[in-house]
Amino acid sequence: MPGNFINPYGHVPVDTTAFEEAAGVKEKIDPELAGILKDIKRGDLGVPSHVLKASAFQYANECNEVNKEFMLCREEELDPRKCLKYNLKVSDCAENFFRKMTTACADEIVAFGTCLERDHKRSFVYCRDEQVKFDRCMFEKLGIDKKYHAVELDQTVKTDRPAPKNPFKLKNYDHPQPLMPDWNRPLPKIED
Amino acid sequence: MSFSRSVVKMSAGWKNIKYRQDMPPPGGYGAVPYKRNLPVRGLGGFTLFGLGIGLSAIGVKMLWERKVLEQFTNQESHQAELVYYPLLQAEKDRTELRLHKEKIESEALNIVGTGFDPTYEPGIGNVYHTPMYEPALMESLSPFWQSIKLWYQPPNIEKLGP
Repeated sequence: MPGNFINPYGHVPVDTTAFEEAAGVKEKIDPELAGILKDIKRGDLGVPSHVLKASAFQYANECNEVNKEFMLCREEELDPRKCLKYNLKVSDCAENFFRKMTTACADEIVAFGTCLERDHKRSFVYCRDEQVKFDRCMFEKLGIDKKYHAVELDQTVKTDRPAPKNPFKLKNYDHPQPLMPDWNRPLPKIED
Repeated sequence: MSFSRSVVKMSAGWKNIKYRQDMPPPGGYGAVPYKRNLPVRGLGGFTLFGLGIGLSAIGVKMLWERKVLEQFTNQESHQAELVYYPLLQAEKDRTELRLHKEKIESEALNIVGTGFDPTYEPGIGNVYHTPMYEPALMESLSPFWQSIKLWYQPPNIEKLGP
């Protein structure tokens, strides 16, 4: 079986139609559109929630910038079709991180995850020994440290994408500005 | 009893009788404690207040430390869950785009392909031709979502009779 012990099937399968592979449709599709249709067929990471929570602070150190870029695009453009580039970057970063993590620190993350599962709130309080061992393993083998403030408030994001114009698609958005007088013009003196 | 002013010579036999008269102790009795006796019992006064305030301060310190620890553990737990919001939203966006694709495919097949309106141009994705993106609902055409719909919205079986 492909994959690892956490996700033995390799990926979560995707259930869609294959209309774009029909005879009369294949010739009319641009290679750009064909690439997009292939990209959206990408599946999800099959990582369970206790493993996600266990490795959260190290994941934040690696992939926070990419995630912020994606969320900014999503909130500014209000259209997921325009943020597919950042969408794939997010999934790539996560895939690389979990691949590295499961090959380097497999035993520690499994012990930590199974310990977390015993609590109904998945609290870290009851699993400090396993947490220390996992953090030490990650730092020594991969050089990845934990991030204290994993979620930041009032943060600035760097992107190459320019700010969108008229994201709500309003009509009459490009009305010309009204002409205003020159407030600093010289005024005549008033003599009483 | 014999009371008389004149000296009466008593008989000599009285000296032979041996008895002890009930007299006060030598040196007399001690002083009578007539003054007020109100001794201070227990701690009393400022000591009691101090004890109460001291024990309360110890309890407040214990509660404060517990509160700080609880805040930290809750924030730690909350942050570990918030970190993955973009990844999960990215996966949801991809499923939304797949449903959008199926919606537009259905426009082409069901409107143009059947001959209902051959001049229709699919690609809009909504009824009122708004330019904004409208995400697809769970009532879309993927069989996976249709199988879930039968669980959450069972079909209305019309009763034709009693």
